Amino acid sequence: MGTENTDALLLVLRRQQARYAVPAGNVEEILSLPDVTALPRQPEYMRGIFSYKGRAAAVLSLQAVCGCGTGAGETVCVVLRIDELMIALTADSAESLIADSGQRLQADGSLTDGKLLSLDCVLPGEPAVFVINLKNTYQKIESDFNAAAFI
Amino acid sequence: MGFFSAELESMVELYQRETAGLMEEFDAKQSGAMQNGCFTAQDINAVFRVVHTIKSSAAMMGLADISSCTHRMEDLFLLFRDKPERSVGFENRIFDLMYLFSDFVENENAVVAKKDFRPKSARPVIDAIQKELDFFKDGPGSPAEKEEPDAADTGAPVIREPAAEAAEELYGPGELIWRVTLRPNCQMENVRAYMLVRQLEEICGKIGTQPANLESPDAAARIVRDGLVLTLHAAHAEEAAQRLSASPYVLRVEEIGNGAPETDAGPDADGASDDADALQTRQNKFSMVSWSNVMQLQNITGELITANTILGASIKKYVQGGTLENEFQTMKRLFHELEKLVAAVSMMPVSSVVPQYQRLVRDVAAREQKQIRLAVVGAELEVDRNLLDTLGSPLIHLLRNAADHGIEAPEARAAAGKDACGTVTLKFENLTDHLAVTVADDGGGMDPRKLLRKAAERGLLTKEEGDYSADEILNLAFLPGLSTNEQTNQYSGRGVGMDVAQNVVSSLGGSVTIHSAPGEGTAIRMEVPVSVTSSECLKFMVGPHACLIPIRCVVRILSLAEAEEHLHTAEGRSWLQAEEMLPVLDLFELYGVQPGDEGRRLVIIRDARGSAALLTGPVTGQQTAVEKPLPALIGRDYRTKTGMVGCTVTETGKLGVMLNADWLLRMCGKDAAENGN
Repeated sequence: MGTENTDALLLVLRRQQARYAVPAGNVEEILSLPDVTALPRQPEYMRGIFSYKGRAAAVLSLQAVCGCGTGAGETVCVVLRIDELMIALTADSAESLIADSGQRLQADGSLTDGKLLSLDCVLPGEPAVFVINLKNTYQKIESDFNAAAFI
Repeated sequence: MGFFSAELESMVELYQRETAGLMEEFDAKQSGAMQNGCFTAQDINAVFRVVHTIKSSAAMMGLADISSCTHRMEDLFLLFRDKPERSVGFENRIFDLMYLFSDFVENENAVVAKKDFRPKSARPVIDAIQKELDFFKDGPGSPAEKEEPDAADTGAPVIREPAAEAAEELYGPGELIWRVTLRPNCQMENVRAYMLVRQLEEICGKIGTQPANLESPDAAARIVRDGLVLTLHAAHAEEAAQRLSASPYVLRVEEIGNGAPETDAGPDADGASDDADALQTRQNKFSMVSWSNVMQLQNITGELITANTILGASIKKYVQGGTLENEFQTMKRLFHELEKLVAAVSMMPVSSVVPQYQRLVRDVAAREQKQIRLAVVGAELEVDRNLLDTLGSPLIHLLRNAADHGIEAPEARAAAGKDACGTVTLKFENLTDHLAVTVADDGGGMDPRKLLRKAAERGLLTKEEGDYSADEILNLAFLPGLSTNEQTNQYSGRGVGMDVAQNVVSSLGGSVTIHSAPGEGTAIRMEVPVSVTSSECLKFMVGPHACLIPIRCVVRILSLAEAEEHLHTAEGRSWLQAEEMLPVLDLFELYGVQPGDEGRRLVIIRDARGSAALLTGPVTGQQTAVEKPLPALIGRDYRTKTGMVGCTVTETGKLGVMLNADWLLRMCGKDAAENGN
């Protein structure tokens, strides 16, 4: 487990007391919370869609994706590109860029059990940083959204 | 260092584009001949011209192998031009050779602009063409008289000067003769001259030149000494002069003579028609615009229209009448013109993509030892290129499936009382705001029991087998990996094709339907919105959701209060009694929102499927909307179940959702269709 490029930079996002990180190379832009359009019957973790550079992007709450509420208090929106796909993740704040030292702990499955989040690894520290596996997280969300259980 | 010299390097892109356009024409002519089962004189002339032009430009670029194999192909079609009867009955043999040739030229052309490009040897292609050339020279239908021995008979390459021949045959009186003097020291005078002639030929059709062969070693020196002498038709003089004067390399143009007016003794009807054909070909096919630039232009135009719509809303809010509003109206009109222009630039004829499908079906038929004819309907339609490109992958899958698994073996067809030759039909239809593409075969059809069994084996059924309707069973074919075929081969059978079609069409905001009858065949129909263009939409609210629907689908808007007495409820469904009984689709219920007390409306919609009444919130106006796809995360299920085909930026700057009348009508069930027409 783990990303291949250990020299890559990570963007650290704060959700309440927890720290999550996404590869900086996937970050298109960091915005303040945009004015989103909610979709009918959308699940709790989805805030809606907004127009980003001429494309419609889905806005998801990091807090809700972690299964910890509705995302109240989130003030930044990080636009992420995953290959040709694009999503925006809202978080309390975007804290810092850190270099991935390569010292990583395997993410225990229990951390993400029953959650839409998928982790690559955990970077030890105080506090520890949970590195999000964007592709797997996207796939989990996509499957959940399209399971159409909510409609 | 790359293959091309620094001087030629700058022309590689132009060469690549021109060759791609010419090969498109080559493929189209082959495809037409395959559909007709023979070569017409026009086909032969067109192929001859194409290969001749490629030969010349390849030689100019130093691509000896391409030039040599096109030279052989040119010889072959020159032979057919003189003796068309020799091709009769050997069409398939010629088609095979043409495929061999086009594969080589197109593959080379695909990589010619790469930095590490190195030309591949065309020897096998040259040998193959030479063999056929020998066969057709001496063989089928060969009259007693034999052509004079030429270099080909000795095994050496056939050397002719087709440019000179063509000039002799195609040009007659009624023409102007110009001397073009190039600027001193412009370097590579013959190459400059060649490019000028190519540009002029886009306007004038064939042009005679002196020196006749601009590729010859002494051509540059002759142009410096005597100038470039052009013979062109007087009808195009003005445009040609403008083009020449725009060239940075041209110093002056003088008229040094003109031919007598055309008489009956001028070029024969065939020749004239060929010229017209050539001119049309060049004008229609050779667009020297980078496609990525066109796509950017499309996007920017869409953004401009959106921004203008938002601006218009602000102007309306704060300014009543006056210059500002007038200027806005002017801008709106200009943007509309721009949009139409961009849409026209993005269009390409369906016929341009047919050859690859023709070949695919032919290849499958040959490999599987079947007889299959591909019938194409609607090839003349012009469709946005993005759309045609995107539909390419599903079409390949569906055509493979149809040819490989749909059409039966000739013996089986004969036993079933069918023509041994099966037909796969590829049909394109313009439905105003949608394009419908159907792939149909007259094969064995799908076996519903097999589909159910396979789906059950793979655990894909979501209810009891007995609860599946006939349509639902057929729709199981769209499930990923579900194939009823016992064997896979290099073409199909892994259950991927239908899934691909479904996903691609869904991503375009379209829909796929399937019809199949055992023993009669299968038809898969894809309907996708035509891209780029904006549409006038009616805006209304459903709770907090701003919704838009194309105004052309809207028949009437009623307030709920005024319609209430005409509403009927039966078996849990509501109906509006208008000129006909219309099913009512409650969008509040569909979207799970509480209806407000005020402003509820019944919006009556109609399309080819039928009519229905949508129960909505207040109607908030009308807007020119540029449709954007919903994020890919939002899958087909969600979209079809909500009727949301896409989204658009509204006048407030926020996104509104665009509804698809067809999908909403489907939700109303069959009754809508029955009552609709």
